[in-house]
Amino acid sequence: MNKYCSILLLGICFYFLLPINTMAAELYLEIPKDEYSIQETFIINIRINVGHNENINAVDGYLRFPKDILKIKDFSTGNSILTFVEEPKINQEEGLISFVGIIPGGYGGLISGDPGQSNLLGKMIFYTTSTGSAQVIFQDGSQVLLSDGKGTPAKLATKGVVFNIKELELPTEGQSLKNEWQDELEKDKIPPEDFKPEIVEINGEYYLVFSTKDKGSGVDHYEILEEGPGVAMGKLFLGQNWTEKESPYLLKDQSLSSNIKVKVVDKAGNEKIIELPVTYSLSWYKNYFIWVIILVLLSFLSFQLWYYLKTKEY
Amino acid sequence: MFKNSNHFGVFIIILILFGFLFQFFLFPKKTYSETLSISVQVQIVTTTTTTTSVGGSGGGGGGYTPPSTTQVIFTGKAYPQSTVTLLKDAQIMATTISGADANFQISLTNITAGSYIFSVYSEDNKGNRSSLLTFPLSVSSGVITNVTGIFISPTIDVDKSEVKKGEIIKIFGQAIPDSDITVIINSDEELYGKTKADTIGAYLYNLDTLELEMGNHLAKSRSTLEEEISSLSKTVSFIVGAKTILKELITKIIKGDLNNDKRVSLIDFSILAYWYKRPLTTEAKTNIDLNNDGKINLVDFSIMAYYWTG
Repeated sequence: MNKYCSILLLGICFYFLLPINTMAAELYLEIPKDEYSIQETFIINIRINVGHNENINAVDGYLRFPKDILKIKDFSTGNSILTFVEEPKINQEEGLISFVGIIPGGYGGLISGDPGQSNLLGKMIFYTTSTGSAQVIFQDGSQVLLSDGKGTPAKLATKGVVFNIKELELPTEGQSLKNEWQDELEKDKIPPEDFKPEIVEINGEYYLVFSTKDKGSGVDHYEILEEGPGVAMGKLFLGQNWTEKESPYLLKDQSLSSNIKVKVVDKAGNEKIIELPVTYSLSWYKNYFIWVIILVLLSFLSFQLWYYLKTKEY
Repeated sequence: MFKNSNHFGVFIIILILFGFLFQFFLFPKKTYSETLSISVQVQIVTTTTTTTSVGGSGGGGGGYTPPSTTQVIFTGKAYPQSTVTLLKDAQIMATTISGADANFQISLTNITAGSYIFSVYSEDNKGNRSSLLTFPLSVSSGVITNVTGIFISPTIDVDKSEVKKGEIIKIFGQAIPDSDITVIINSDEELYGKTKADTIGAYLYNLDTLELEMGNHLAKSRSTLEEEISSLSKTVSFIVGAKTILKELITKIIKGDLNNDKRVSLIDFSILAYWYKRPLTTEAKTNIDLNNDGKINLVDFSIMAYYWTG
């Protein structure tokens, strides 16, 4: 009898120890190889898996890499399922990378029949600077939240990558050093997705909000152009003055009478420009450009009149 | 205890089997969020490229290859004559009206190849919205992807915000016509009720509050038709108390709707992002902070993502 009791007791222990059904989410890294050579540029994918019947909607990721043998070149949001709360941060001095984003509506894992791996969160582009064993891992503080309307933290498992960096193998004639990222950039000929910038009032001031995605190399940056009344003349002499900005962007023209253009540029340099019509048109008499035209016309007519009167005298 | 290593191995296998038995049958562990039974199948049909000869007699002739199409077609069931909205990466892409049989189809063309998060929801004849049915999908260039079997969750509402204990509270909504409805009451002990949607998809469940504890309660529902099960509806709350207060039919406040446009979209997301990690003003603490903890962090974004409408 005692034997059966101990088996039952141990069975209960195994119930708590076995990992099956306990994982709500797993953040993991993916690389195609486990060995690279010095001066090689390669990509590490950040992906997520969720447990059966689980649904998550927010991810906060912190990663550490060996700064003495790896150089972080970029972080690509291309093809990511996340809507990023802020630009992912990379810090070479500290060997840290962080990102934060949400999945509106939630993410319940891959669906059957999906031809691709729709679980990419981001791509880290690294450059090898020295030989040795490299480990890229998720740090404490990384978290995934459940899509339950309360932001409950999900039980999280993380899986980093370990790989070796060997001495440089000089490429043979006609070959160049491997650069996975350059190959991706060269393949990307498609501009970012369409989007609709909007003007919103935040804290008593007007801001422009915008967001889009790029299915290739990822969005690199946004540029804004505010064209006030009389801008056509300015364009002739000064050209257009695009400035790099992030959303939400505090509008210079709080009267909302300017034309606004938003340009999104991906990492490969493909761009898309979206134009917002003027929200409030100025009355004609408030437009300086019209007054300049009237002044020029009046000057011309005055001159003509003066010339006519002068010639008539003679 | 063990005569040889074989016995020990058998013992370990028995223990593992016991572990599985406990996990799956005897004491299944609780899940941490609502179950989403997404029933989506993806078929890929490569577009046929035909070559037509246009040359004259005796000549070799040129060839014409039609441009390949990248298209995603979504088909499923909502409610009869209801508005169905499709979101692509959190932004509204298309709306359609379902037929009298509740079937709908939405087609997206000239979509860039890549990974997307698609979401679908519907609105019933009283203006209540279903929960968002969200799924990831990889779209390949030059292929037609058919997403079938989309089963929209029922809408749900109650006729009273507070009900006197012992009185009846009506739980109602719209679902797929003739489907079986399960109403789930999240109290200290979860209660289940069954009813059936009529030919226009309307359902009603009269809940006797005599069996409920005093205090706050949550209700949600799901519909079943033949072998298909919808995801869970939104959650609706009510109080069992000492008096009865009738509820307005359409809830005026949507959590996460920071600019009061009755939607939770990228505009609200941008407003929340503005306050992310910033010190909050008194007004922001009242209007922006979704969990009232005095700061804007990932939890607020998670709450907003849950109530997203696009």
